[in-house]
Amino acid sequence: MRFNDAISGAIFLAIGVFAFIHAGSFKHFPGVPYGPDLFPRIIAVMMAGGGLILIVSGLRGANQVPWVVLVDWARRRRSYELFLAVIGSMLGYILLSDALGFLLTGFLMLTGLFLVTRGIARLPSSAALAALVTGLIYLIFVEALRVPLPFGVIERLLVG
Amino acid sequence: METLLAAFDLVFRWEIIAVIFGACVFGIFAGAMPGISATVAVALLVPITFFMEPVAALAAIATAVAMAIFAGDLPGALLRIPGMPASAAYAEEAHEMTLKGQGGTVLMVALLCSVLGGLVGTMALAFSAPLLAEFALEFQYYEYFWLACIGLSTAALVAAANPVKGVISLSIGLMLATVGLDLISGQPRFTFGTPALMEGIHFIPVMIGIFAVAEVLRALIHPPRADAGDARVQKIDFGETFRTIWRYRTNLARGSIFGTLIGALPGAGSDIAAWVSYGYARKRSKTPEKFGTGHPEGIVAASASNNAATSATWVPSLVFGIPGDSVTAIVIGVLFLKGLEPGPNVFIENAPLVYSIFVSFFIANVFLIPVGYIAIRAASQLLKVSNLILMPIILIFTVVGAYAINNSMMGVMVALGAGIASFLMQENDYPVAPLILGMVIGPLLEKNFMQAMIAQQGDLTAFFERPIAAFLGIVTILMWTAPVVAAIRRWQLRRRAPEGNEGQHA
Repeated sequence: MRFNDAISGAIFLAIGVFAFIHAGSFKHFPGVPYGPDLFPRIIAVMMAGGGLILIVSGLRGANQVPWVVLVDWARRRRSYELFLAVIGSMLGYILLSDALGFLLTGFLMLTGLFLVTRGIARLPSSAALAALVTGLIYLIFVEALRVPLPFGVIERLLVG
Repeated sequence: METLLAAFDLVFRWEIIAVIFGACVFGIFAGAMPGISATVAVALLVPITFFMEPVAALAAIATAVAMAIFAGDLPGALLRIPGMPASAAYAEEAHEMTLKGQGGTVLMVALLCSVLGGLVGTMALAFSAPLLAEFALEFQYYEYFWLACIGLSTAALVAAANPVKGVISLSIGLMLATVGLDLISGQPRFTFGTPALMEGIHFIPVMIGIFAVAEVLRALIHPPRADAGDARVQKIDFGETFRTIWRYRTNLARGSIFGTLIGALPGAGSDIAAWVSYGYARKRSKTPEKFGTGHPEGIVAASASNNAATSATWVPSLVFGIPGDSVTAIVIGVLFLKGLEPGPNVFIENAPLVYSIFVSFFIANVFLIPVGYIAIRAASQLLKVSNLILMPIILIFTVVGAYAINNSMMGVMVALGAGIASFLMQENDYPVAPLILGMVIGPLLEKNFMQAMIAQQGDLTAFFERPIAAFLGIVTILMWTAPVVAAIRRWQLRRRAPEGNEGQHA
């Protein structure tokens, strides 16, 4: 999905202006002339300036470059399904894993994703693969590296 | 010498060798997959290395990158899809050779040239880095400030297709780096009253999002390319392999040296090295007309070159703390996390550790021969792994990696946000490497800038008083003004052109 440069330029101009103003609220250390706002403000000017240049060049080319161009993938329904599946599965993990634990959430996330990428006909092999990968990650992180992953139902069975 | 022996002791332990071997296999696999670049491979590896000791962590990253750069040749030769940008220069040429039935041989040539080039780059790293470090010991924050500026400017202005977008990407990274408590005043910045933001935004989840999550999105939604290639098992003719390398030994040497020099420049990495070496090999060839028809001369030069560059990019990173590319930017971030501030002092305080990186690079290059050979034999199986299976697995790795750094869901949210942002940025030709460089270098840049400003009461001339600082400062300012001058010149030409046309009409 391509946008005319004026659009992204306007977004960065807005962020830059906002950051510049917001940096004014950072408290100065008494007696030091250059406070914590100086560096962020320089960056904000850089970002806003870049945004401004893009707005100008984008508007100038606006008769040739449309506001939004749907590149090849964006005309495929399937692409949107896959895009949403990726975002959705990550959101699902964020919402569920603290309650369900890594093993169950990871398994569900992978099975769900495979369901979209490989189709329902291959569900059994997808589920098996998902179980294998989730188990492997559990072994690497929890058993070998001693990193605690979200603890849940299956973990309780394994440990207890 | 004693340091070197100490470094050997650090590396030659079974757990380190096991880590190197694991990273080797991972690097080969990741490199061979067209969707996974060396940067993505490192992004996936870092969360695991986060929990290792420094030697193991750095050895793993060094090994995986060296392997991945070679492995990018596998799909390049067999399917005409380069697995890495670094293999793109000669993927067509190698594929032509595959069509002639010489696919196995050309890959073996590429493998051995990669090893030799990698060893040359490692030697250059091992010898030049300590010397440069000694020189850099004299540096104060003025020099570091300018060096950081040069490193960031090359990434934003030179390496980006559109310098304005490069600068914006850089400013996003720098701004993200300021979130959290200010180092000097201790004041919260851009936290908006959220306690979770007080400790700042960790660069690892951002990096995972920018490189890995965005890559999963891209790989899945773009319509699959028709694989025209032929991934049948290819015979390897060892006699022909050695004859080819011997015949083009000058190209091998030249490619290795070019790679080393280009890699050591900030902002230029293995892909540029490969293109330059391939182009130069053609220019100096007695039979330039054979290039593009399945001729190994350029492949010898370019495959040595990209591996030499891989080691050499560590020179500016280790000595000055200025990353050469996005992989070394990640490495610098990892060094900081391990409590090692890259820069000349690391050579004094942690000399064995630095030398252990060199030793790891050597071991990695030696391991590359057997592992690479097996990979060539197994390539046809390896390349059958579909993105539809691979990408979901990568995604769950990113989720776990982003969570594990702080044991908080915040990391996963940051990775998701960064992934979507990075995807949109790349769709609109914003480079993302400057963002991660800005995030890693930002705190260093601000610290040196603020210290100099406070020490000199805001007197900017102090930045030019010392001779090396003055030189670096002038280089930086030239880099900043060059695109502006070029833009003004283009604008003037454009203004003059229509007038000229009107003149003709009259």
